[in-house]
Amino acid sequence: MKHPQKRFWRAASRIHHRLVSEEPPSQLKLPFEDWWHCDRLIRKRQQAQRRGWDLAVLRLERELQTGVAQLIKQLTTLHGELSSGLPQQISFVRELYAELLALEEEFGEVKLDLRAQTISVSTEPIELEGVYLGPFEICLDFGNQNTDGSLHYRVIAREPNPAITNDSVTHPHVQSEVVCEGEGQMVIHRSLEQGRLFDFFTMVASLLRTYNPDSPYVALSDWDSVECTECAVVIAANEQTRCENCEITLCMECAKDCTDCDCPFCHECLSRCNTCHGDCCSSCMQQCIQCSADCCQRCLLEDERCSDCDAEETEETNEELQETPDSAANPVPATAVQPDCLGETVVPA
Amino acid sequence: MKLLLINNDGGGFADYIEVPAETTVAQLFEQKMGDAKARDYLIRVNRQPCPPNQRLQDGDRISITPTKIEGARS
Repeated sequence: MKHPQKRFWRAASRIHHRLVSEEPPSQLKLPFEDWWHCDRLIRKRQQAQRRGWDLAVLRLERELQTGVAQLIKQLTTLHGELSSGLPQQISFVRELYAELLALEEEFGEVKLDLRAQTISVSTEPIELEGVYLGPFEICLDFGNQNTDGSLHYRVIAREPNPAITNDSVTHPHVQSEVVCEGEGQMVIHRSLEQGRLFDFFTMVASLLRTYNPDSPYVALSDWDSVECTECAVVIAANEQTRCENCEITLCMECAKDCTDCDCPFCHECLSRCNTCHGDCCSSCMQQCIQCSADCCQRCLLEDERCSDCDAEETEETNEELQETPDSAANPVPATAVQPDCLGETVVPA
Repeated sequence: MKLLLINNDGGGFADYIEVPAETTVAQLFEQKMGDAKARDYLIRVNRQPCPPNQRLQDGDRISITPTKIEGARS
């Protein structure tokens, strides 16, 4: 027996021991969760109908269709299980060994860590709807079990390209290395309970190669999108901008241009010009030397006063002129008469 | 002859079934899966890929697994 095969045999033996040593969880369970999900959708649909929200009604009908199909599937499975009359079947060691050999053939390499009690295979690089997600490692931790008695496993992105809005989402259906199995939940868990390792790994790999646009953690269409810091709306990469001052990400609605420099800024980094009431950034905003009011460069006059102060002074000057009619009647001559010889000196030729 | 059939479409339950001798993989699929399309499933006999016309043997282990399994958020 070759060395790797010996390790496979030891792993198979340990997994078998783990599976038979645990009390098998009850298999017969009515699909209450799916039932209540459909019930909620029906009530929401009725509400939407009463309010005349036609689009919402259509969307809820589509969701209900999927929900009912899932419910039928679960009930059919339960029926099939009852009809088969077979008790929980756990693979023998030799079958588990055969599963490991088949895995190696299917995935090219099976990584066994007997000390950490893990078995891993890697998928090919996965790309869904033009979004490159990279290869994933499916790691079965046969030393640990979940609270429901099933073996624990993780899905690790080998070349992570997480969603911009959430670093822990490395795949539309994987968050923090945990897969949300959706319709595959029962079959995946059953394959683990029965020690059908080949079925387990191939089904998880199939799930990773499939995209369900109805229920992702982050939709692929939003994969490279970010949230606007101000309004929290998800925005595509080509529809976002940044505040020139604090550099937060903004949607086009929340970003306001400075009236002077035309650069985009967030609400916090803009002030209002006291004269024109336009939005102005701190670099462009100035103060009137007379009243210290905030004023944009367009409204500040050449003498660095705001138009209000300027108008006020013009008014005051006019008033002064009106108050002194004599001086207006006898204007001071432009050139004052100087005393004779005052300030004169002889300049040599 | 007696076979072990593992249907991973839906619940993933395993069952021993009796089929006539000389039954092929395609015939068994049609019998058990009805209108489902074979191209949407990975069918294996004793963990090996198989052609549709492969004749089944007594004691064979057949697994039928959908090629697309949709995950979900909750």
